[in-house]
Amino acid sequence: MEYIIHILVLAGLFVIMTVSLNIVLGFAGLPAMGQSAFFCVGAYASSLACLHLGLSPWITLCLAAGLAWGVGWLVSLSASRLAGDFLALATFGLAAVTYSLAVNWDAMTHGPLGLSAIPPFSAFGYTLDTAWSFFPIVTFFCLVTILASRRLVTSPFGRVIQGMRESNMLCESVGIDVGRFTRTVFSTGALFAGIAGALYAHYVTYIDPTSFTPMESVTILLMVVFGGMGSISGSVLGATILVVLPEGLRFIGLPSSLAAPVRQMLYGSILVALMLIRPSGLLGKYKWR
Amino acid sequence: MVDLSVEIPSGCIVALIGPNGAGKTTVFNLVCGYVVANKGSFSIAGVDATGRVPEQVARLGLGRSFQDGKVFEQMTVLDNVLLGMRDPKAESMTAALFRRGALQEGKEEQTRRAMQLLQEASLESKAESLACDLSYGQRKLLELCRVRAFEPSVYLLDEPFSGLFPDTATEMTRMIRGLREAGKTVVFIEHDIQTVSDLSDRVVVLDFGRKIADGTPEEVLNDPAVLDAYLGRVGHDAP
Amino acid sequence: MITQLTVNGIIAGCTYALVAMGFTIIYGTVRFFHFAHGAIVAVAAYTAWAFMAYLGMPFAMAAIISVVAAGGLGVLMDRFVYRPLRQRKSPSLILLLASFGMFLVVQNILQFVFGSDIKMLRGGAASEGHRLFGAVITSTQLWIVASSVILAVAALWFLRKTGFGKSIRAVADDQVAASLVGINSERTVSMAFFLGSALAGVAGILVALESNVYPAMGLNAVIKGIIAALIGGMGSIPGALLGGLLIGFAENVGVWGISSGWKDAISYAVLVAFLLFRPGGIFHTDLELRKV
Repeated sequence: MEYIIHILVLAGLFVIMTVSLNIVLGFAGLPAMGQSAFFCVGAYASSLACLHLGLSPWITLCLAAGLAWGVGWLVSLSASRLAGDFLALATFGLAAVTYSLAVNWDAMTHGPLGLSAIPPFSAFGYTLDTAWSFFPIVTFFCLVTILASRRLVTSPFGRVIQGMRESNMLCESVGIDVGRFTRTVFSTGALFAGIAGALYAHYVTYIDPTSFTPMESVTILLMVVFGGMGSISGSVLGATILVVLPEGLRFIGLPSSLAAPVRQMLYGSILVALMLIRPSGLLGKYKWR
Repeated sequence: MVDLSVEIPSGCIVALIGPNGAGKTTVFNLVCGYVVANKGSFSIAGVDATGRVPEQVARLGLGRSFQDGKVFEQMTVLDNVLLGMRDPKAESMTAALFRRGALQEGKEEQTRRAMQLLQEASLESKAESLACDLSYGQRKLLELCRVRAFEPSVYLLDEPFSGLFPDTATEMTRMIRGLREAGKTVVFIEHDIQTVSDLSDRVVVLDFGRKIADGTPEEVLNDPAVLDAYLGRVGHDAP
Repeated sequence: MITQLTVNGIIAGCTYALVAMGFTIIYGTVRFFHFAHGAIVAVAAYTAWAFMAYLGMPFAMAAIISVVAAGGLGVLMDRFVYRPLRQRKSPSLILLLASFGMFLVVQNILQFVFGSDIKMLRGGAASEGHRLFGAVITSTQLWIVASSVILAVAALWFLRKTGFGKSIRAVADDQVAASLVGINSERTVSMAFFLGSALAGVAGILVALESNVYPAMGLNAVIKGIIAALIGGMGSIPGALLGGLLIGFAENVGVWGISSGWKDAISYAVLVAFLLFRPGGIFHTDLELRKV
């Protein structure tokens, strides 16, 4: 049972990242592939601030989210000048560089060894280091993310970013500052990924670069597309299914050294099949050919 | 674009005509900031608008439509019009997250106005359908609604009549006349001489990026230079 | 020290250039980013290794077979995934995502079949080094440089002097119009995929000779290849060569005195600088970077 809750906690973290990426990709139409970079920044920033400055994880969570937002904002300065595919590659490159820094910047990140003994969250004198005790925290942040996203997309703000998905030129013709909205949307996606990263670090209490490979960005993007572009409930569903599904591999007795490649193969095949058969995903309303 | 100097008084309808490739749409793109001019300047209501990016030009009060009826395809007809109605305060992210009540109030007022505009274009029954389901003519009407919602003082309409059925064209004529009555300035590109002389107060003729005539429809349509450069060729390249 | 770093940079740059050339030929024809190009690099290296280790085949023969296999894999990817999408006129982002999917599948098949441990292609000790302006360069490395330059010249000759280059440009501009003037557009696309992927295959074998064979080798190769192609100017062969050398040089000389782990960050910084200040690349190509 503990194990099932553990999987649900992981699914919750991915829900946060997927729902927020859907705002960027599915609603605003910006193919950002740097979600794992911000996840990484959030995780390392929060852990390092906790370990070196001795701050409470709750405070470092906020700092990490702020840092991820700031990095996202800086990246978006160039992002708002790039068209679709170039943006996808540039942000994927960002994810690759962040990973490479996590591996190579020994003095800060301890390289491949990673950071250990990261303090867990605590509340009212209890240490929240088990799956059961952490579950409510993840649930809370998931709900906040979903609620905030719903509010964003059903507001005039949401209407503008959905207009940008269709045509920047048309938006400009009615006086919309496309660059500003791009930066806002992009850095908001980064902020949520940063929160997810910090939550992850204080939950597992040990992080190493293998959790932040650039391919993780492709996985998160797959969850958005699988659930459906422009559908928040689709993202929740997509993230949950794609986290839970590979766990089934354990039950058919696959050794864990092979489980990782099989899981990735599964993700890759789903992505190709989706593009060929149903690019708009499970619940997507946006028609994508 | 070689040489073009036009001063357009407010509150009149100007037709921009010329043979294919004369640079009519290029003029629009230059003015709107989609294409950067090598030199020259232009201003709207006394404000210099040279070298600005499209959204800044638009905010100076310049609304434009595009040649082939561009709309936000996968949004509802109503949302298309609402997007034209800019309200920067309501569009901020903090408003979306924390000021839902205020948004709700503004929304009712905006929706009412948007429906009014749609009604004038006989599109009110389509308000909830997706813009991509509209016919070509309806898209062009919707496009004009979007530009109107934005309430510019100058309208640049790129071939608003091309490909329209007579009924829709009448609707379009009525809407454009309505704009003049409201004191707006309209510049439109058109090929059909009948429509031009019916609708416009003034005609500007372009050929190879050069202004070759400028005046009332009667004057211009009888100008030998125009007949030579443009009307003389009508027999060959008219649709 | 600086000469040694320069030599290292040129050698790394040559392999990047080969990947970039293949990438740029494919992009020039179909106008989307074929990310799975990187997986082909790894497949070629593993094929060569498998033929040599399991069948005891001589290196030259294994190399030829794996280059052909790489080309074939590229054609298959196009035939079964990209072509249906192209015929549906999918936006290029969909093709890019499908490409990421294929990359994941192929890389993990390699890991599944061969395991994630490192394999060596060259037998025995590293070959004797030659001295050149105070830097050491091995025979293998000379081979890498020579074959990259020869292949670049050959590819350029092929595109310029045969009708193929023209067909590629025609197909890239307008498939329908191209077929109206008698160009078989599907065959041109297949040809471009074969040629581009074969170049990636050569790069894979050279990388394997110079360093190691491991499943994730394709990721680094394709990222550097794409950066090289972008800063060279998409669609330009000389651009790809120059871009590859520039990236190789920048990341090797750039880490002078600091940890070599910063290589990726340096090449990314070069890319960002180009995207911001010269988005068309060195050989400016008229690509629409901005969304309309």
